[in-house]
Amino acid sequence: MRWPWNRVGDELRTELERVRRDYENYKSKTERLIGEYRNRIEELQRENEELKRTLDESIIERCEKDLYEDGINYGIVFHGRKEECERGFSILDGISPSYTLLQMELFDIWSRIVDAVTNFRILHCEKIERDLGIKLEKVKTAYKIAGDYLKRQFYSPEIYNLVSRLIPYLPSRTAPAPPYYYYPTFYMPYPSSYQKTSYPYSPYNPTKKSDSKIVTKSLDNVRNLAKNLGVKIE
Amino acid sequence: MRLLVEKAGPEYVIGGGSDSVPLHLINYLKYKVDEIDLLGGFSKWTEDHLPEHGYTYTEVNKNKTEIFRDKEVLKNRLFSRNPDVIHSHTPGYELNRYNKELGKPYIYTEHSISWIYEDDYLFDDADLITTVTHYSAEKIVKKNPKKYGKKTLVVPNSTHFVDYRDDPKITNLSENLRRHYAPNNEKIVLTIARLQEDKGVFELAEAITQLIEEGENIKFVYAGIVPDEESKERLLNIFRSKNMEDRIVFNGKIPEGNEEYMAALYKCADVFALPSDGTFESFSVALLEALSMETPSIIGYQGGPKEVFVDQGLAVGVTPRDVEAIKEGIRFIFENYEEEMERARIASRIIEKRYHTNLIAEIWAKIYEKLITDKRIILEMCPFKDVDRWLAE
Repeated sequence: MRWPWNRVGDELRTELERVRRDYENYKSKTERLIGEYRNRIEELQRENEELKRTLDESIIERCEKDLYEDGINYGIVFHGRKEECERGFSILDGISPSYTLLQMELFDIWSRIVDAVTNFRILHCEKIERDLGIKLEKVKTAYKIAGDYLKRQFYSPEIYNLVSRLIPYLPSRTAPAPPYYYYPTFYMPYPSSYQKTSYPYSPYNPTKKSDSKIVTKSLDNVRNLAKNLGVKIE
Repeated sequence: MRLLVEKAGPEYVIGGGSDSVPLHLINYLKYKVDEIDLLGGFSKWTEDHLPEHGYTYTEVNKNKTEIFRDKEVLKNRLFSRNPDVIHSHTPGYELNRYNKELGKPYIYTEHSISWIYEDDYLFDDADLITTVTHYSAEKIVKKNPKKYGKKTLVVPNSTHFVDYRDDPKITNLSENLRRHYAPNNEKIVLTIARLQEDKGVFELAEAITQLIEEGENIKFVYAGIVPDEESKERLLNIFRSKNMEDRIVFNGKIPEGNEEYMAALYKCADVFALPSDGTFESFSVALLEALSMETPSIIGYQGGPKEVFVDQGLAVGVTPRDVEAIKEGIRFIFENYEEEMERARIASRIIEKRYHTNLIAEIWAKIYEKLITDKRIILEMCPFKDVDRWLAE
């Protein structure tokens, strides 16, 4: 005979069974999600490591404060890739957005040099095409690819060293610096333009080679001075 | 007497003549006046933007330093101390205003040549203007003979390096340095200067490389404040381009309080050279120190250094920043080494007698006293005066 409480027991059992199934589903689902997240995190970490390595290798100075490498925060910070693209530097894919302004200027010059050379070569190809009536599409594409490659090589030591020789002649370096840069105090970081710009007042006029001279007083002169001052020199 | 000294650099940092001179003076003055306070880091370059180090206020006799990051608080501190006399070694618009508001006898010492052209507000407000050479004094007085002629005084810079001259410890250290720097018996040419265009270090380097090419056995030792990496590279490249990297020793700034090392460095050199063009050079304490250590020296024949060193016959003068002249100067010293050593030896004795910090500190103490007793001093007769003559009157 099925007592009412047995019925209650059956219902309870089914209920419990359902809860257990739900729990197991939930558990397996959560475990799967945790696994997925863990994989994702590992993947991100790997990517991050790789990115860090690339940055360390390719960027010479990345400190925001050192935008002009003179320790001054000019209040200009580049966030993300968007601004870069707007500035036409999408070529620097994978390279830190916080490269210095100086590097930006240098890169600008470098890419112009490469463009000029590439354009010249392509023009030359076109001239040959016209003159000889042959197609040189592949050669032209090769030059373009080579040009892009050279631009990407900006941070290689050879090219960076080569281009950085232009630093003293950059517009930013030849423009006059704020007045307090001119003074010889130890704590004030000078921008390198200090060397290039003229001093506010220079009592010294550059002399010609023919004016070169040395001036010495005779030793007797010094001896007399010492004598007059009552200095014992023996 | 409570003296307030103001300098450009914070606390005990040395950044040039206008920092080292007041600091060295304080070391002697603290036995001659009752109390000295030192205000550092507050100048016309740091008024608008607070420097990283803040402004420092040191009670020298108590050896107690406070750092201020707020100008108002600093001003209150200054007023609460209420000094009897103020001696400022640094220009500053606000600093000048504070000094004026304090209403005490106020001395301003001009350490630079180029500042002379724009520091009129200081010359107007100071009770006494002092310069380190007649050359600078003349320049100031020329601006307004009526006004400045009556309060401009010449008090030379000073050094205490002569104390190290016969110190066996320094001699030993300098011999070690010599062995280290010049293992192949090279002649050492030393310069200690801020690595910037006006000091003529690049021209000196060029001259040295040319002399080496001509067969001289020289080692160039550089030490000083390096404002940027570019200048350092520029200097090193002069040697690199001629494959002479082993002929240059590049030291950076010699840390404060490392005087013994500096004295030994001066002593180990065969020639000390500073062919600066006088843009900022009004005296050259470095040359004073080099000569104190009996090192034959070369200096740019111009302005203050010309007056103090060349015209008195203490050092060889060369056309400033002129490679040919520098070469000639160095060669002259090498060729007449005995004579030049004798010159440096006598120069060292003259410096001991005339430019020793102890003597100059004594003079300053007298000036402070004189200024406190009759604040409105008027230097009559001549447009600017030697301190000796003035004190003797």
